[in-house]
This record gives sequence, structure tokens and C-alpha cells, in this order.
Amino acid sequence: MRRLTTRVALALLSLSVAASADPPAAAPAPAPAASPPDEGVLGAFVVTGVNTSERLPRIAVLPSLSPDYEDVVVRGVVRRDFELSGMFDLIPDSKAPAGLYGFDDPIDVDAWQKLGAEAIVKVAAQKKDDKQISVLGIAYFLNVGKEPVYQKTIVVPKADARVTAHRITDALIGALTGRPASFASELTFSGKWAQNRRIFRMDADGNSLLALTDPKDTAIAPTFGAPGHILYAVSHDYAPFTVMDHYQNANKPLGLPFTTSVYSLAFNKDHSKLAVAVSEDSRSAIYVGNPDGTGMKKVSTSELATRPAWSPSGKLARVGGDPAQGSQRIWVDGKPVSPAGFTAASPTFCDTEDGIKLVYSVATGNNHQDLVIAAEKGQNMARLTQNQGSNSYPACSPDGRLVAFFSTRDKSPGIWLMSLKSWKAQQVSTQEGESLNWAALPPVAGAP
Amino acid sequence: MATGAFLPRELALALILAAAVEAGLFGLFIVAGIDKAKVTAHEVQAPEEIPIAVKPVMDDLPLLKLGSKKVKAKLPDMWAKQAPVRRFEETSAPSEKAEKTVQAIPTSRVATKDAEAPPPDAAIAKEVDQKLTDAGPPKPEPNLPTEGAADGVKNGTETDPLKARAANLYAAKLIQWFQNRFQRPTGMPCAVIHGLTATAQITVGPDRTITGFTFSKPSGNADFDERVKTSLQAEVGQELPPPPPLYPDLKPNSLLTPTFSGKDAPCADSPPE
Repeated sequence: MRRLTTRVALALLSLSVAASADPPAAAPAPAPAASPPDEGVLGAFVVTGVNTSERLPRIAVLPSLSPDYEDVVVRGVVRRDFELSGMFDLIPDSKAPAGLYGFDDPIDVDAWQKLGAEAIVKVAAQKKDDKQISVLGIAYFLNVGKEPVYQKTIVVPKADARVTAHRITDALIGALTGRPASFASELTFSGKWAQNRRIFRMDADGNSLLALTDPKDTAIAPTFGAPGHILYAVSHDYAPFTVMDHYQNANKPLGLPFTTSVYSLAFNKDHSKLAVAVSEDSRSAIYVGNPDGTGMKKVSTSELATRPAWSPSGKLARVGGDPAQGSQRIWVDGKPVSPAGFTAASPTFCDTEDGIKLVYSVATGNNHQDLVIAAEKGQNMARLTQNQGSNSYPACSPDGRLVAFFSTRDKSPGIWLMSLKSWKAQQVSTQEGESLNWAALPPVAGAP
Repeated sequence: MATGAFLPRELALALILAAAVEAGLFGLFIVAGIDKAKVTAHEVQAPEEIPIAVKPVMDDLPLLKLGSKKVKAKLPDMWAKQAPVRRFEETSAPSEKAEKTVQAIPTSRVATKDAEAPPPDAAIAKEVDQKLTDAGPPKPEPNLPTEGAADGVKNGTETDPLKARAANLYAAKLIQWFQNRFQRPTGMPCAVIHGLTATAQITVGPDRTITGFTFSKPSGNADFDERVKTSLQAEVGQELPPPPPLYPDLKPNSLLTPTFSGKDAPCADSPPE
């Protein structure tokens, strides 16, 4: 049997050698099957190691000469949003070419091109009837042609002028970059009010500040739940902190199986999981369960465990530590990731253009804190702030392009927004507080 | 006992003077009252109503509706060079209809034999220095069987200008990702390092994770090649930035071919950066 196998093998080998030595001339070898072309956005390129920051596109947000209130509001909000985004080099209004800038007036493209505009954004609003307004948003790429690459006109109630302007900005930035912005969003935080702390909310640009809780109570650690819900821990007359759910101007208790104080809480991306930090035998622990408070299971092991935060991919970060270690650190999925020896706090995740990033604050001495950014698992850490007062409680915009935080910089304490693209920080509020959170407004039908 | 401020005779004198002033004033009123100048009211005569005949003019034309032309927001047309107007030089040719007078003899030169007559509405000049060819009718808009942009190229594939721009931005972001991870060697002479290039091939998985690399064409400089190899090794296992959310189908090629170059590197005989 073995000899037979050897013979067959030798015969096959001789056949193959003969075939390779003398290929038939008349019958060409079949061409290899054509593989589908690789149509990715990048193939061959040159790497020089020059770390240049990305150039900011120069764009124009057309001025408006209309005296209509709604037009002034919409145009002003959109222009401010574009400035806050930190993603564009905006041509100042003072350099705008002379001309008509009405709702339907054409655009002098040559004049804007001479100013270096790569794209033109036009927004306008006009009264439709006593209760409604028409809002127009148009974007042109000057290298593409004279037709707008984005155009949308929507009719909304007059009272929605501001939020509609934010939604128009989000859509226009989406058209310009492929990633919509998130100025149609709100911030919530806990701020001092006389002897107590109250929960506040405000628009992403600092407008419409509103207190949500009773000034007689002490309310802390607000977080966003399902669309429209803000949950927070509240104590009345020094009783343990319990969780309340604010929805449509009403506050209702959330039933949690804890009799001790709740320090903070966080929902995951799709609001299917709730993480809660609670006081437990002079320590703190983190439990994870269902969003209604059922099925809670302890997930922390360290003596200190608080400030839970979920990453968009489902990782759970928290502040953890042990007094024996001398500092509190950021833990991600059960491992400490912040530098040892530095007291870290307030972890949050940003779903940025470069992927998911972990942002937290680190105590730097002199009662100051600074913000650092790292990869999702904590590696490749870099500072976001340095020598600019104390910077704490970071919160990322829903589009991952901006970080909001409390800062004492420039002798002007309050809430500041920093662009993760241009690293430029701008103040949006003079309110001071803690536990900042940021979430998109609930979506509406027919939004741009 | 307190002494009075005024003497009795002083008080009496004051009373007399006050009574005299009051009496004088009263006298003036009396004098004014006996004035004969009287004001009489004149009654204004009301205008008489005069009936006039009004003959309405019937106008069957519809009234213009208040409003304005609805103009779709559109950039103005790009300036286009106008086609040159072809001018014909004035020439004369024999004609049977010509008058047989001295005044009718044409002053222009005689046309060449078999020359065609200019069109009836042609522009005629005494003398044409340069003959212009007719540019013909304006170039029509391209009407191609495939969708695309007027300023596109034949080999282009993207019909959506927004997606094309997003793809450019994403490609720039990916290149920057590699730029940030390449540590250039320093301290070499400019003549050496500026001429060094090394090419590699990087394989990328479907989840944008770098799965491996081959150093296909080293530069020949050990230090430079070592730097390239170190950066490539550090990139294996890392995930490239995600595509923009509106275009999740954008992705890097599964095989990337970066060329590492030392052309912009700081060198020993150049000022520090």
C-alpha cells in the first residue's frame, strides 16, 4: 500500500513537472479571477512625521439685514453655534461684501471667493403666520458649483426658533463634514443655591438656564436618562439621598432597593442598564441593574467606588480606590487606568471623530484640577488643560467634538466649552457647580 | 416786657399804603371794564354741497397681485466668455443691377472670385484686420447618461458632493493618524535624511484594526528603517479612526501603502524646529 502511494505521488509529480516545463502554446492559461477593486478612501500616501493640526476650513455664514425678530434669533444662534464648534475659520461679518442678504436674494459668490471662503452657509427665517415661522438653511461648496449642496426649509412654531436654529446648525455641519453637530442639546449640573444645591439645566450655548429642584432640598449628581428625563439624587432635611426622575416639569421618585444614600448614577448608551453608586457600611459600592432599579448586582470591589460612567461601547468607568493607596483613581472595566499617585475624578467618555476617548480630571495641587484625555482603555494619556485655573467635571457633547467643564480660567469662573479639534475654549455660562452632563434633546419629527 | 419791632405809627403807615395799593388795583379793573372794545363772534358760512356726476371707468384687466417673483436660492451663473462676433469686410462685386453712374462706382475692393455673400444680418466693416472664426452656438450643458457633477472628471465615481467632501476629510484624518505615530530620526545630515524613503504595506481588517505589515522597500539607512519599523510595530492591533457617521460605508483600503519620507525631518545642519 505504501509503495502504491509513493508511485502515485511520483507520477503526479512527474506530470506536474512536464506540464510546467512545456506549457501548451495554443491554450493560454486562464486569467486569474478579477478581484473587486479596493475602493477605500486611502491607499498609497506619504508619511513625513510632521504633526500638523488639521486646517480649519474657511467658511462664511452670510449676514442678515432683516429686522425680523425671528430672523435675528435664528441667524444669531447659528452663527454663535458655528463659532462655538471651533471647527471653522469664520469670516467676520465686518468683511462681508456689500449686497442684499434677504431671504431669497442671490449670493455674490465671486466676492466671497475673494475672501477665501470654501463654503457658504445661509440661514434665514421669516414669519409665516401669527404662530409659525419658516426657517431656511442652505450650504454651498464653492468648488462644486452654483447649486446648493444642502437646502432645507422647515415650518415650526414661533417659540421653537432657537432650538430649530440649533437643529439647522447640526444639519449644516453634518453636510459640511459628514458628522452632524449636536447643538440641539442640553447640559445639566448641580449648582449651589444659598445653603443647598439645586439641579439646573440649560441649552448647549448657555441659554435658557432653569432650576429643576426645590431650593429647600439638596440635589446632586444629575444624569440624563431616556429622552427628556433627568435623574438626580436628592436629600430633604438631612435624610439619605434618594433618586428622583424629572420629566415634563414633574419630579417622581425612582424606586431603588437601597436604604442608604445614592451618590451618583449613570445610564448606558441605549438606556438599558443603570449603574448606581451607593453608600455601604462607611464605604461606597457600584451596582448595575435594569433602568427601573430592579436586578441590581454589585460590580465594584474596591473600598471607594463612585461616579460610574458608561462608554458608548459598553465599558464601565468609575472612581475607585483604597485609603491605603493614598489616592483615588479611574477604573475602567475593573482595572485602574489613571496614573498612580494622582487623585482622579469625574470620568466620562467622548465618542470623538478619532474614536472613543476617556476624559477625567486630575488633582494638580493648590486645590486645582486639570483635564486629561486618553484612549478608551486609558492609554495614550494627554492633558487637555494646563496653567489655566482649575478645570473640573468634564462632559462631552453628544457628537464628541466639544468638552464642557467648569473652569476658573481668565478670572471668569463658569462653564466653558473646548473644541477637541482646535483646542479653543469659550465660556458659555458664569454658573459654577459640579457633576456636569450633556445630552441631545429628544428628536422631533420633521427636524432638519 | 418785650419791646415791639415796629412803632404804632409805622404799622399805621403800612396799613394805609397797603390799602392804597389794593384800591389802585381795584381802580385799574374798573378802568379796564369800561373799555368799549368788544369782540363779536363771526359765524363761518358752511360750504354748499354741489353734486357732480361721477362716471366709473370700467377696467376689465385683472389687477396685479401684490408680491414678488419667487426666486429659488441659487448662485449666480458663472461668467462665460462671449463668442466673438464675426465681421465681414466690405467688398464689391459685379452686378447687373448696378447703376451706370460715376457715383455708383464702389470704393471698396472687388471681392475674390466665387466668394460667398455675407449673411443679410452680418456685421460689415470697412477693413477687418484679423479674421475671426465663428465660435458657433453656446456650448450646451453636458447631457451624459450617468449622474454626476458638471465639474467632475471622467474617472470619478462619487456623485454626491457631500460624500466626496466627507471622504476627503476622512482620508486626511487617516493620514494624520499615521503622521502622529511616526517618530522621525534626528541628528542626521540634511543631505542624507532628506533623501530617505521607505515603503511598507499595511493590512487593515474589516473592523479598521491594523492586522500586520511588511517592510517592502527599506531606505537602506539603518536608523531610519528602525524608526519606521518601530512605528509600524506599534500600530499593529490599533484601530484606525471611524468614518463619519453619515457615511459609514467609507473605509480605508484593506492594503495601505505608506511611503515614509525624511524630507521634512530636522537635520544636523539645519536650525532646530
